[in-house]
Formats: sequence, C-alpha cells, structure tokens
Amino acid sequence: MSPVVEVDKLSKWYGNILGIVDVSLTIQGGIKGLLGPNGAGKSTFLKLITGQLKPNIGTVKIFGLPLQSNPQLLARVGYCPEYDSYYREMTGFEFIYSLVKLSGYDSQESVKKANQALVEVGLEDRGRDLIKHYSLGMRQRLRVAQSIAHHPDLLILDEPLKGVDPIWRNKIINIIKSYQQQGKTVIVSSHILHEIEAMTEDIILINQGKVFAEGDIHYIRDLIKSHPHKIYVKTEESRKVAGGLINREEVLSINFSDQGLMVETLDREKLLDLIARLIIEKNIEVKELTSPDDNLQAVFKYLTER
Amino acid sequence: MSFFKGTVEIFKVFFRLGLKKTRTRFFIFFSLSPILLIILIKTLEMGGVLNKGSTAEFSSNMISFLFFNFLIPIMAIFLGSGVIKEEVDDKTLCYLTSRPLSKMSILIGKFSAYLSIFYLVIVTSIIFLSLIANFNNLLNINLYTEILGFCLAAFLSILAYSSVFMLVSTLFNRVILFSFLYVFGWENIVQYLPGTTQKLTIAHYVKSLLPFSTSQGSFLITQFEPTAKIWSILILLVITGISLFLSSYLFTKKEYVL
Repeated sequence: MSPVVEVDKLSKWYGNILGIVDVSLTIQGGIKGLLGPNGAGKSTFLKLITGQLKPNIGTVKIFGLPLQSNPQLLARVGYCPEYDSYYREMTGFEFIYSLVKLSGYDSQESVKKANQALVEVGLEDRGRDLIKHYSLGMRQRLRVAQSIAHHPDLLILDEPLKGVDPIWRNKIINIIKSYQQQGKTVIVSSHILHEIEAMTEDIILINQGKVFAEGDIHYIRDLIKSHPHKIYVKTEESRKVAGGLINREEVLSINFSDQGLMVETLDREKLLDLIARLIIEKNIEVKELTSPDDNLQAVFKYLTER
Repeated sequence: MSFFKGTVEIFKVFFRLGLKKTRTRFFIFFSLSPILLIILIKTLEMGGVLNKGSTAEFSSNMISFLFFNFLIPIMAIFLGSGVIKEEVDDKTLCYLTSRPLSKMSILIGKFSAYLSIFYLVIVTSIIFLSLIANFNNLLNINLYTEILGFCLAAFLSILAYSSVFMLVSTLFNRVILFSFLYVFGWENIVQYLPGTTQKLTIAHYVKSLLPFSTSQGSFLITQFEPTAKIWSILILLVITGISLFLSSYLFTKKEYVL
C-alpha cells in the first residue's frame, strides 16, 4: 500500500529566502505532528503538499500519485490554513456549504455536510451570521470546520488551535483524534510542544527548513531536558538570592543584571522549587520570576548550535 | 471536477457573494439613480416646462456619456482587478486552490459571475432609462433597436475592459492605478486624435457600436472617425479572447505566496 503522503528531495525557496531544503519523508497514517518554531518551514511544507505552492526541486505524491498532475486528489484532502482569512460577506453556513460544493458534492449533500461540520465545531447557532461578526476563536473553529466538512481522507491543519479558547482547544483536539480512529491521516502543525503532545506522539521536528528529527515525541522531551534553561529573578535583593543558590548542583551559572539575576540550570523544575523555598525562608521580595527561553525557538537554537 | 462543472460552481458561489458586496451595492445605486433623474425630467417635459423630445435626447446623451465614458470603465476596473487581487489580498485563494478545481475554472467562473452582476446592473438601468424617456413612443420599433444596440455595446465594452484589467492584475500589483491612468489618461486623449491613433483605444470601438452618431455638437467629438460595427465587434472580442487566455495562462503558472 502506497504512503498517504510521500515527498522526495523537496526544496522550496522564495527568492533568496529558503522555505524548506531537501526534505524527504513518507507519512503513512494516523496523526503526524509537525513541530517547529515560527518561520521553521512548517507552513511551506503544508502548502507544498496541498498544491498551494510548487516545489523548486523534488516531488510530492498524495495517495501514491503526483499532486501537480492530479488536482482531483484534492477532493480527498482537507486543508485548514494558518491565517485568519475568510469571505466577509458570507455567513458561516454559506462559507462551508460553498466549499463542500466546490469539493464536488451536490446541493443536498452539501447542506447536510455543512450543517454537520457546524455542529462539530459548535457553531450551529451562529451559522446564519456573517463571518465578519464572529470572534477570532469562532473564525478559527470555522476554518477547521471547512477542512473537515467533506470528510477528507487526509486532513492538513496549520496551527489549528491558534486563538481558540481552552474548552474548544480540547474539543478540536478530540475531533482530530477521532479522525485517527476512523483510519484517516492527519498532519497538524504547531510551534507549541504541549499542543502537539496532546494530539500525537508521532512528530516531525522542523527547523530552518530542514527536518531535524522524526519519530516519537519522547525524543524531543529528552532533547529539551539537555537544554540549559535560564530563569530570571527580578528582585532588589539579588545578593540574598544568589547566596542561597551558590554551590547548588542544580545551578550552572549566575549572572547579575540591573534589576535582578539570571540563573542557568539543567533542571528547571528543581531550580524553581529551590527559588520558591528561598523566597519563603529568607522572606525575599521577588517582583518577577520568568523563564525567557522557555520556548521551542530557544530549544532549537540551542540544539542547532550544539 | 471537470473544467465546465468547476466554472459553473465557482460562478454560483461568486454570483451570490458578489451581490452582497458593498461595492456592488454602490454601483447598483449609482447606476440606477439616473432613472430618478429621468423620471423628473420626463415629468417636467409632460408638464410643458421642457420641450417635447428633450427627455429622449437627454437619456441618450446620459447613456453615452455617463455609462460608456465613466461608469462602465470604472466598473470594469473593479471587476477586472477584483477577481484575483481580492483573493490574494484577503488570503482566501487557498480555500479555492485546495479544492479539486483547475485554476482556469476559478478565474473564468469568478470573472463570469462578477461580469454578469455588473452587466445586469448596467442593462437594467439602460432599459429603464430608454423606456421612461420614450414613454410616449413605446410602439416605435426603432426604440427597441436602439436599446438592443446600447445593451450589446455595454456588454462588449464591460467584457473587453474588464478582461484587459484582469490581465493587468495578473501582471502588476498597482492595477487600479494603472487602469485609471489608462481609462482617464490615455483613452481620454487618444480617442479624440484624428487618424488611426484613436483606434488604439477600447473606447473607440465601443463608441463605434453606439446606435446613434456621437459626432454632434462638441469640437472634440467631431474628430471621431468610427470603425465599421462588425469590425468593432470582432476587435473587441479578439481583445477579450487574448486577455482572458493570457490571464488564465498567467494565473495557472503564477504562484501566489499568501
């Protein structure tokens, strides 16, 4: 059986800017998480496998066939773009109905599928309202709805949880998971690790246009553990804090700044516990406790420079 | 989906959407408002305040000046430029290109939808203006020939202008600026020059199709040397065909990074 998505030596650049470079991979089924910081090339990859962009080098095959010469394959694909775009004069129902019809369904079937999709994303009561009157979260749910309305075999979602409230975030995650249970394939991108983790353990790490790693999510967890974290403590009693931290095995380095100190550690949780105990025991007034590099971008930067 | 089915489906979507657009409503209002003016003039004529026949003359002049010199080119600018530009600017193109449709059917379907809306608006206005202005002369067969002539000229005019502007929009970003310069700069000057130079404008062939002579009264208009109607029709159709073909080709080949 041929893979659902198969890309070979795929490269795409925009003028002098590299989108993705020499990417070869196959996606067989289930949920595949595409993880990488902003600007890593995730959206470029998704646009290439949905035919939005043409590769400069390489090939894209969907369901075993080249996409460029078989646009009819798109009837089996659902795509949710990353940007907040919509037809201002359409209602939510008209938007989904029109796009289902453009996927090749007749009017009766399109009405049925559009209504089902609206129910799935909880917009059945607002379906007759103009999209321009929707909130950002509702528009995001509508974009997800248009991608699933025609029950595609391959669902491609670019940052589908952006702007969605926590309740609907969980519901959308469940919708995505239900696709896997139906034996369909989902490719979902995000720059937030725990979002991807909530959907799948099977991930592709992408950074600077290259596939950095592919496989189980525990691998990235281990990589993150080896990444020294920085904790910034904003306080007027920097010396008191430093005195409590010095010579502790959790602490790699301490640097003083104007309004506090920056502590580097390999075990972020332990250090935070230690600082919390210090604050209570020595009655230190702390104005701010932040982790400036606690994001995927910093992890990737560390890993690529290592 | 086949090209024909795809085009029809896109047409249906954008015909409905086009009717809801603020821009369309503005054009509907602007195109139908002369009807109120002509009703007023007709009332004055029937009341004896104006000379008999002055409404019919006013109506014909208004159609040729307001519609063919002004309204149709402006509508065509927005029609031609809107087909692709609004999809790219609003980042909605991805919803269409991620469906099993050819890019050509997207372009032709949307163009036809907007063209139909604008043409219906123009034709409704032209028909009502002519009928009201010639209210006492409705049995005259020449009136209907003249209306048909205006409708044909309006169709070919909006078709040719909008397809050219759509082609421009596939090539350049500043399509509206370019189109305005072309219509109100180049065409406004060149169409009045004597000799063959005036034939380098779309307006020349459109005016050649108008059902009455426009060479009365004005100094500038006296320079107008009409082309035979059949040639005008053919040339406008060729301009449209070439523009549509090139637009479709470029739209299919061009990559839009949203």
